[in-house]
Parts: sequence; C-alpha cells; structure tokens
Amino acid sequence: MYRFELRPNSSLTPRAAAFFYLSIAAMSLGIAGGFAWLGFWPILPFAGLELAGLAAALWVTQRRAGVREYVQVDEDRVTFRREASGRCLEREFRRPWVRVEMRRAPVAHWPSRLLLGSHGRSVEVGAFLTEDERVALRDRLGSVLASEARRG
Amino acid sequence: MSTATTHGHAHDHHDDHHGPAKGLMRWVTTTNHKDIGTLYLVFALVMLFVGGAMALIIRLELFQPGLQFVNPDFFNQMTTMHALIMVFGMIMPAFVGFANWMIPMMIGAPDMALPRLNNWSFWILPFASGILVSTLFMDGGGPAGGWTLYPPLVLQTGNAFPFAIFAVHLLGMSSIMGAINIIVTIMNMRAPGMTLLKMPLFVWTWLITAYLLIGAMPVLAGGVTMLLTDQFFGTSFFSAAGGGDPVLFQHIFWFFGHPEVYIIILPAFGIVSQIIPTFSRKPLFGYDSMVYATASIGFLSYIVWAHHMFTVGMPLAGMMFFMLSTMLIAIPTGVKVFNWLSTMWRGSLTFETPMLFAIGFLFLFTIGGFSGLMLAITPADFQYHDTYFVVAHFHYVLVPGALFGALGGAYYWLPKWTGHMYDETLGKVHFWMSAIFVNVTFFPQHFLGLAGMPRRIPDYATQFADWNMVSSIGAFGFGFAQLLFVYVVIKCVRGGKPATAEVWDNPEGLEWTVPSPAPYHTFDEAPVIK
Repeated sequence: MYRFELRPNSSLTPRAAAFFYLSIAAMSLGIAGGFAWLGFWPILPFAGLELAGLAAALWVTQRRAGVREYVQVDEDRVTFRREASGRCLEREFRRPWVRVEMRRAPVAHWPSRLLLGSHGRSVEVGAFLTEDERVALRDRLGSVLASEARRG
Repeated sequence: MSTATTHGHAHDHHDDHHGPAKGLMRWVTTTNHKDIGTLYLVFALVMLFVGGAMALIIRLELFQPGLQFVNPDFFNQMTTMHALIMVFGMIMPAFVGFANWMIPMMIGAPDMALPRLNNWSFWILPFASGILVSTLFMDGGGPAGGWTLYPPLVLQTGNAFPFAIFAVHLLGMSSIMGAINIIVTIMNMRAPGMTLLKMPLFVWTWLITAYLLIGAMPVLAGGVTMLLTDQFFGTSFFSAAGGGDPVLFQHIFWFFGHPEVYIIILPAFGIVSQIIPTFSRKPLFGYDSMVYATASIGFLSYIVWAHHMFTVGMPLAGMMFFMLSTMLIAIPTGVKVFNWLSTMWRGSLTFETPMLFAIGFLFLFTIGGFSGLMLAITPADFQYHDTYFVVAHFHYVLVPGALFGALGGAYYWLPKWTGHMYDETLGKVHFWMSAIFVNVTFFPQHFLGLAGMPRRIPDYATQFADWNMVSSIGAFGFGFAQLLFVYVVIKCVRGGKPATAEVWDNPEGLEWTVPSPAPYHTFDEAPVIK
C-alpha cells in the first residue's frame, strides 16, 4: 500500500498568521484608537475596514493553504481524497483501470494538469503543486501503479 | 462505488489557469501579477508626464518675476494637483508596479496571493486619477490649498471639493488593497527555505512599506472625511467657531504625511540595495543591519510628524522631542548609506545605467537627507519654513531619491521584463541629462529659500529672478530628458539584443533564474533557497 500526501506551499502557519494579524491590528487600532480618544472618531471605522480586509485576505490564503490531498494505492483500488475547509471529496477507482494522465497546457510556461481516473471519469491531483513537483508525482504514481500491476 | 468528477467539470474548474484573454480585454480582466505590474508601471509613466506638465506650468510662470501665463488661483491649483498626482498617482503606483512584477519572482511564488484583488486595486487608480484631474474643469477649478489640504483654506475649494476628497479616498483604497495583497503574499507565499532574513532587500522594504501604509492610510481617510463632514454635515472637527481646531488637522495630516514620505522612499532603498551589489559584484554589505535600519526608519517615521509644524506653535518640550526624534532618523539612514558605500568598496564596479541611477540616488538623496537635518533644527526651521529651501529639500528626496530609484529599477529589470537589452548608450545619456538637469532645477532653490523666497507663490521679488530662471531651464531640460526614457523603453519592448536569463554578471536573486522575458507563469521548477 502506498499513500501520497500533497499539501500546498505556505510559509505562514496559522499560529504565525494570528500573531502577525494581532501585531498589525494592535498598531493600527492603537493609532486609530488614540485619535478617537482625542475626538477624531472617524479614523476608527477606516482602520476597522482595513483590518477587516486584511483579516479576509489572511483567511482566504490560510484556507487555501489548508488543502490536503491524499492518494492511496491499494492492491485492488486507488482512493483519492481532498480535504479543504471542512469539506471532503473522496473518489475511488478500480486499480487495474486507473490511468495517470498529464495534460500539457496549450502554451509553453503555463501549468500542466495531472488527472487520475478511469472509465472516462477523473479528478485533478495536485493543482497547487509546481510543475516539477507535478511531474515527479506523475512519475512516482506511474511507477507505483506499474509495480502493483506487475505484482498482480 | 466510485463517483468521480468528469473531465468537463475539471476543465471548467481550472479555466483560470489558461492564460490571458486576447486584445484589450486581457488588460481589463487580467489577474496575472506581471500584467498588473506592467499596467501599474505604464500608468505611473503616463502620470509622470501629467504631473510633470503641471510642474512645467509652474516653472514657466516662475521663469520671470511678474504674472505672465497663468493667474494666481490656477497657479495654486497646479502646485496642489502636481503634488497630489505625483505622490498618489505616480510614485506610489510605480513602486506597487515593481512590487507586482518582482516580489512573486523574488520569493519564488507563482503569483500574488490575491490576484483578483490585485486587478481591482489597479483599476481603481485610473478612475480615481481621472476624477482628480477632472476637478480642474469644474466650477471654481481644482483644489488650490496645497496637497496638505489644510482647513479652512481647502474648504474654499469650489464644486471640486467633494470630488477631490473622493479621489483621495479611492487612491488611498487602491494603496491599501495593494498593501494588503503584498503583505499577505510576502508572509504566506515564500518558497520553502526562504526565511524572512533571506528575503531580498526589495521585498523587505516593501514589507515595511506595507506596514506603514496600513498604519497611516486610515488616518488620512479619516482626516479628509472630517473635512467633508465639516463642510457639508455641520460638524466642527476643525472649525474654531464650533469648538474645533484647524491645527489638529495638521497633526492628523502629518501623522499620515510623514510615514507617507517613507512609503515613497523605502521601496527605492530596496531597489538600490538590489542594484548596487550586482554592479559591485559583491554581496550587500551588512544585510541584517539594512533590515533593522529599514524597520527603525519605519518606526521613527511615526514619531516625527510635528517637525512639519514647528512654526505653528507647540510647547518647548514638543519642539525638543520632534527635533531630536527627527535627527534620530539620520542614524539608520546613515547605516544604509554606509552599507551601500561599503558594498561598493573594493568591488569590481561597472557603470551600466541602473548603477548610474543608483549612484546618482546615493549622492543626491543624501543631499536631501542633509537638508532634512537642517530643517529638523527647530530654531533654524523658523527661518527655512515655507521657503524654497523646503521645496529644494523634498524634491531632492523625491526626484533623485524616489524617482531615480524607480528609473534605476526600470533599467535593471527591463531586460527581464521584455527579453531584450535596452540601448545602453541612450540609457546613459538619459541618466546624465536627468542628473545634470535635476541639479540645475533644484539646487538653486536652496539659494532662493535661504534668501527668503516663499514657496507656493506665482510672483516674486526681482532679487530672486536669476536663480528662478536657472531653475526653470533645468525643469524643462529634465522634463524633455524623460521623453528619452519613453523612447528607450519603447525601443526595448519592440526589440533589441536578446537578454539572457541572468542579464547581468552573476546577479543574486530568484528572478534571474527564470528565462528572459520572464514566462507568463513564473516557476516551472520549485526554486531552491540555500
């Protein structure tokens, strides 16, 4: 049994993101709060809007970085599982029929797509990977499936 | 039982991977960081000429004493609009353009963190700038109270007043959205191994700039909103008659305005810190100290604002505090200048156009820094305040400082962007013309200021005539020299000697590991950071 775990690159852990956000919020709210205390309250809503925007941006990127994909190759089946923001997508294929297909982009330097599937149905795997990571994954998946097939 | 998605569905889901639309719509709908970077840079170049034309109207009027070409009110509109356009419409967008193009490539990211937000933050700009420029054609003309928008003077603006405020809001919004995108990209999308203290200096300076933007912009937004409510909704934040205080607007404005100075100059520091090591063939001297110096400058920029207001009146302790805190900025700035010099020391120097602009920056920005120190001395400032000495000071910081940084950066990365080498001879001619004329324009303004010529006046006493004439000749020379830059850029875009991936002699940075021109999607291979 082989199991691949794929995760997007993210240089900011959730904890670091929270710390980063709190530090910037403390600065911005400190300034706006100080002015509000002096009577210039209209600065505060703008600081709030801006911090809401920053929070949304961090939330989106953290959510995107939280995607996990698992490909499990068993003796008779291949299971794909994608976990993203609390939702889970699971697909199962019969191993002898599984094909790993790399679709090149129509123009040079655009990302290719790696498809895993059988019987005319497929899922895209590792859309968030870099090109050479995707190629390495294709090669590795291909060799694993071939060795399993030989054994079978 | 398996239930897999179909091919068709998968196709739909990832259509956004499939590159640019055709024709004009490519530029309207693009979310690609390189396209948006190009849009920002082209927009900034156009606005350089719009703001520059206004500067030339000012210098034309000041060529001789007396009123020759424009009336005083229009002259004041020109000084106000020139500043607003150059600050918000030209130099800030130019550096956001550099950030868009270079930061993802420098940190090994495929794109900006929030590409759609990126598109929106750019496309707000032309509309905001259009609104701002359109105020010149409104009843009563454009805002004429100076870019500082001090009440009660600014409240005398005609119909243009709410439009100008709205334009400032939109321009600020665009900057904030750009800053959020940049900060999130830098924090979240660095390639594995790219720790904070391995980031190129340009990325560091932008990270700190984004912090400054996030801290300072709401203050401006709130300040101009209070002007609006004072004018139209009966509040009295800045109206003495209603219990408010107009001086407090000045505190608010400069609490934004001084960090704004560093928002403008820090990315130029970053660009120069990329250029000098490349053409010295040495690593940057004192990388860590450069980072800490930049952060110190960022922090200090928040506690010096009232040095713009010494003559307005404040307690002696306040004057002392703001004088000394302002002088403190010389220390981290000095660290940077010495580090740049030490990088060049015993390096294998060559003087291609980007390096010429970087050295020009180093010399001339330092002159602006020194005149800033003179202005920081409270008793001396009482003499200098509101004279042409101040105009000379901040133009030395902003033109051979920020603008030379941007021009140097453009030459440095132009081969990476276009895939062609620019015309080196013309680039050097452009540099020397710019360097000579910028000094002809602004150096005499020191003399005028010391001799007592006030700023923001369309007419002056005859003893100031000679240096004003020299300054105006310099301004026209500088303006025409920038047309040469446009020619060099167009020529480089259209063709030229093919650029290699490295372009220069063994430069440092991930951007030099990708082909020239940089592919539409940058990294085919995961970058490795040692």
